[in-house]
Amino acid sequence: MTKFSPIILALIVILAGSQAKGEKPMDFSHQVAPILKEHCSGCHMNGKKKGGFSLNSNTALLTGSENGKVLDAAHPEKSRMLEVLLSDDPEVLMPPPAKDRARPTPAQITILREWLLAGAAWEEGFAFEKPKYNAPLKHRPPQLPNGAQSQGHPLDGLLSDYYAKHNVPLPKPADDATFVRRVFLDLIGLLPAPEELAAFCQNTAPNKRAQLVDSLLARNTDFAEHWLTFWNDLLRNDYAGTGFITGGRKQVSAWLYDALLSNRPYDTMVKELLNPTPETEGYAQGITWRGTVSASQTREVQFAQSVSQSFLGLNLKCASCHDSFIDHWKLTDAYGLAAVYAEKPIEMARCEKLTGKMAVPAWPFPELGQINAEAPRAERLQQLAALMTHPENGWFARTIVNRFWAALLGRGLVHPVDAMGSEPWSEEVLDYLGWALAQNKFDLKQTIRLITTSAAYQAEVVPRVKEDSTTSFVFRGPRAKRLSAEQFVDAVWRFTGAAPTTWDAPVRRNEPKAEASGVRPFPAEWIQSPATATAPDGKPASGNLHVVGTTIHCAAKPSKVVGVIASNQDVRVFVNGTELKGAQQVKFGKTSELYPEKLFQKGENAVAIATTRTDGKPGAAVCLGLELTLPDGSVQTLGTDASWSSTANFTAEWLKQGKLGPLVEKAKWKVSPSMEFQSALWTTAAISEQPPAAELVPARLSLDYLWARQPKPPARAALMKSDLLMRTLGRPNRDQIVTSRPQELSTLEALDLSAGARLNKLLEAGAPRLLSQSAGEPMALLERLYNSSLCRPPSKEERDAAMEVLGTKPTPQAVEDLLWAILDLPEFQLIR
Amino acid sequence: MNPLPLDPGHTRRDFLKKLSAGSMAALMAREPKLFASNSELVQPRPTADACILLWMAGGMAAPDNFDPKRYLPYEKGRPMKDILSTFPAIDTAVDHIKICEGLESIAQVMDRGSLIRSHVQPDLGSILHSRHQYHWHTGYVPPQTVACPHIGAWMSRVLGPRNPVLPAFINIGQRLDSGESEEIKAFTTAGFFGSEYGPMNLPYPEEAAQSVHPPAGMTAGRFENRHKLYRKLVDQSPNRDFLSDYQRESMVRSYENAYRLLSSKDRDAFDLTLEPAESTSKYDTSRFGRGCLLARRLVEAGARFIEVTTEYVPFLHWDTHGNGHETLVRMHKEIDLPIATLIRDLEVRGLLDRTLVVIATEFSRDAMVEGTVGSSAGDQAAHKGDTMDQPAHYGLHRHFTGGCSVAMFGGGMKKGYLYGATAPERPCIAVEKPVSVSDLHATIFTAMGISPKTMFEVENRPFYATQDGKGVAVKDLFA
Repeated sequence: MTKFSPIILALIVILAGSQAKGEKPMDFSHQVAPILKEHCSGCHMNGKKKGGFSLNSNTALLTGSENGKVLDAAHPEKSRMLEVLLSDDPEVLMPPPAKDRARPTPAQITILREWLLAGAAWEEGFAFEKPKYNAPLKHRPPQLPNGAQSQGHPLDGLLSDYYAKHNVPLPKPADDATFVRRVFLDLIGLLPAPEELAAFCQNTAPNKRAQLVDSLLARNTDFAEHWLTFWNDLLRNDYAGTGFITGGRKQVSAWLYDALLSNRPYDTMVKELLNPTPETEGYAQGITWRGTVSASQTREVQFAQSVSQSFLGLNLKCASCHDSFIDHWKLTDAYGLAAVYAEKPIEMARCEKLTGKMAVPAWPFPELGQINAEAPRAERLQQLAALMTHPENGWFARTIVNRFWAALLGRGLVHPVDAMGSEPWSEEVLDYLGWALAQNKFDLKQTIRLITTSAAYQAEVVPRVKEDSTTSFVFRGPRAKRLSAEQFVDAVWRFTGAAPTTWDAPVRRNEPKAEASGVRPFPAEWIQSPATATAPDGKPASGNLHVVGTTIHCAAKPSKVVGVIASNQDVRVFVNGTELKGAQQVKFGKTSELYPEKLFQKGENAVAIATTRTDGKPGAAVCLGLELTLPDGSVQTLGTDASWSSTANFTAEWLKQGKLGPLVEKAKWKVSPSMEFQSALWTTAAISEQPPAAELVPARLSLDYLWARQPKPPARAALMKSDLLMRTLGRPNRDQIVTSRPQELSTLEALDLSAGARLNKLLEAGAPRLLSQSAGEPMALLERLYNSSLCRPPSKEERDAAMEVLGTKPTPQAVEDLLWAILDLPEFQLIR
Repeated sequence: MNPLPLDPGHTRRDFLKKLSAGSMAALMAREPKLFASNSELVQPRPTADACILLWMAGGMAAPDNFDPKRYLPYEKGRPMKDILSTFPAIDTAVDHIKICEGLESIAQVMDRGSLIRSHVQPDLGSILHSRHQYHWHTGYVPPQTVACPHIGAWMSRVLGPRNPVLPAFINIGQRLDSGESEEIKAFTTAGFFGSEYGPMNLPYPEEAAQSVHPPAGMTAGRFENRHKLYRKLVDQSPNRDFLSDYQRESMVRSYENAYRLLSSKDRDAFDLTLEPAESTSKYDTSRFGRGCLLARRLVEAGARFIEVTTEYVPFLHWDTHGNGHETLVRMHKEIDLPIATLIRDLEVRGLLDRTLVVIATEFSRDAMVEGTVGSSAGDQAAHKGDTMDQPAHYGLHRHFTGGCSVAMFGGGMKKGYLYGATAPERPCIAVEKPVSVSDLHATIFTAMGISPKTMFEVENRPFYATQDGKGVAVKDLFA
């Protein structure tokens, strides 16, 4: 292309412009629009807004850029757009000069200039790109097709219209066995036992599928321990992970487990997370790394990102740094939400630079009401919780039902699930599900029931094609889903009997009911070290620890010791100088279970409880009960009471020196642990008149006590910290919110399953068990394995192939090989 | 397209065709896509085909290794502030470069590479090793709104494997179940790229062979039969048609790929027992030393990116909060001969020219300054006194982010070249040509043929190989 110097170019423009004067008005569609499209679309159309400027529509043009208006209606000759078009400063010139891009021709520049000078008229209604889908905020009451409500399933009624409209054949129903496997895995995360499978297949009741759904939903513990994974991903809750090391992160596990177990209404759950208590505050607090963090990752901004993603399926991550280029969310939207949570006023930062503007507490859907920016924080959070769960907030309800649809049918009505502003493939189905959730008082099990009793859910899976375009998707039936890491591991544990007997999640499983028999009175009272230590000036001495302690004589080394401790502060428990840690002490918020049997010995034993605060304030009120079983079966109990010793003069330094620990005075502890307590340091403990937490009355603790003593069910994978096998199978680091798991098995994962020691050890441990279950009979073993893993008997060909390996007298190795091969089958690893 | 220098028969296209299910999955919705404008991006001509990162985990003190300052021996009662280096300087093969005593073997190969003395890290207000390590390994300071890929995952994602049978990203020496392991796991990952591009973790080099062999105790014959059974059962399943070809095939293909590696000759590269004793002895100083040997064998076999770490364990190895000098005497013995031998071995095999070897760490150390000048970072040295009262006080016990050394050998770097400098007196901050993490990564990426502006879309947003695409390669380092 010929190159013009700017001056010559300007000259040409002026000349050309003068020639054009007085001619007929500009034809926008045929003259102007093509030039804009050719030269500006790379940066200012199709969703792109470089410099905050879009040329997509007249409104966008009139809105201008991040630096203000680009048109000047009163003085078109002074408009910014004209200035940049004609500038001789290459830094200012638009389109920016570039080697590989042609400049507009002089004739084109003339046209644009004339058009701008004449007022930049736009063809009415014209936009370069069709307006994006405008997702509704409020509920839209459903319009069910005639008779759909009374005669059949409402979702299928809506879908029959959909199928007709899209010329899609009715999906074929899946057979019973397929359905059973699918619905077990989807609802409780476990494979059906062969007996459960057979019972269902033999059942002739016409509504047996709905019956099965109901019976699975009623298995509260199994249900909770499966859906825990979904919610842990969504709320980025875990039992280990980044942030915990420096106290920058807190679990919500105990609360979450309880909410799932009791099927707490979804709106209540969200209210409890948004307006948090100590039990739920971990979600809102997010993850804090020690040290400085970028402006878009402060605790407050994380709150804005998490809340909008978890509950509204919105991505405010872009907008928490700058006005989003990909949707209409702005920096003020992200900071508005952040400011709701902020303790102190926060200044907005744009791309890490402070703007000088303070954020105004606000939430993104003012149509439903707005936060009172002047209100104190506690009130603002309450208002946010109310607005989020507002009865008319259809967006909120549609977000969660869409996640459930995606979890159950393999792909969301809106896809991806965190793009809730985009168009669903069926507005009717999404609207209905959202509306029904609100109608059902946010009962999530009802949503699951509604979906899983539909013919759509119960249909055969349709093949997935590689291309997964978001625009042209047509629903033809459910998709196969890959087993989650947790489902896979649970299945292997069941086959092999290798499930651990303790777990990492701080949750109570198999909790006894209040009316359960065997509730024994809790053998303890609330005690406290009586006074705060005082310094010579009369003020509370800082640096001192409070300790209560006692000794107990055991005629023999106890074979089993269990107990419960409750306190109103963080306390540390020592037995014979050794601190209870890890599996010896399982914390449940206000109470902990103790399993210190290894630390007790024959003879004198010392038990001490230290309050670790050093600020001079009063010590913890504690209530501890221990039950010690001796080898001869006799039982001793030990509980906090007025016979205990206490002190407010123990120093942090002594603790460091191991005065309650084994490092110093070890011999002394062994000879007579009570010596320490008899020194002048100690006085008698005081009985607390009121238990510090109303819910921790002796009756409640008695239940806990009973529970601590009863045998525990084998663990589920969702209750364990992630290990390398689960990592291999796609369990994510929950450093970010995760709303979908990988559906493909990677080569490295296959390598680990093929050669890795972890799976192989499980198989080795489990093979003898499988053999004994089928009394070493190869055919019985094969049938049982196929039935319990794939929910069908082996075909003749499969039988032949397997029998070749098993032989007439299968060795454990042969069983391992067969189990390995089955676990790796796509048919096993997919829920179809 | 980069031809494979070691196995000209393979190309990346072949690789895609033959092998990786995950790569085939590139079109799936969840998979990050290259932004359209990447097609306009001109990828630089690579000067290296493979990269070995030798990671000095825990903060390798520059003044006690590659950037000697005024040396004073231990003396009871000596003021701490007088200490800059606890090792005297020694000559190297390059006249104008001196490094520290204890690194005599590396000194002899300094003429094969470039030494940067002005690498700087941001002061994050508080030192948590794993957080700085996250930054160094991904180019992004945590926390981040998306899971950031390790630089090895970038190599894997953009370049793919060099030898299609070998995983493109191999991570040697770091156990993932020690202290701060959650923080380490957070960056030892392909992040949003997905696990296909993630690391193959080999914490124990001497056990690496086990990872590519059938499970312990299983004979090759049994392993083969087991795989045959699997294939048969896949083919015989009466339900195979219900599962989409794509989903089923991709899963089966992953197993086939795994099986191919497990039964290929290439797996011998993982087996250190196949190395002649004479050669092994030069590497056999420690797990790190053996890791260097494993890295050499893997590069010979066609690996793309390998990290070998001295391993981060809080308060161990380079993480000297006390007794620094004595610890470093040991660390020097661990790394000196293996690193020098690695460089020489690569050279002898004609591989050094196309293999970039980088020695790096998350930050330097100093006897006095925590973080950098004016930092709010809390002092974490065990001994806070003004004087050295016992030998354990002798060492650089504070984390220093103001100036750090990085050595780069082979892979198109200048030879015997010194870049940047730190102040001769405390604070020993970079006073000349500072190189940020972004710019250092840009240099490594550029050498490997990846533009620092390469970007992928995640959650509809661009995500760049270097932060915001702004890393600039240090041109002076290229030969």
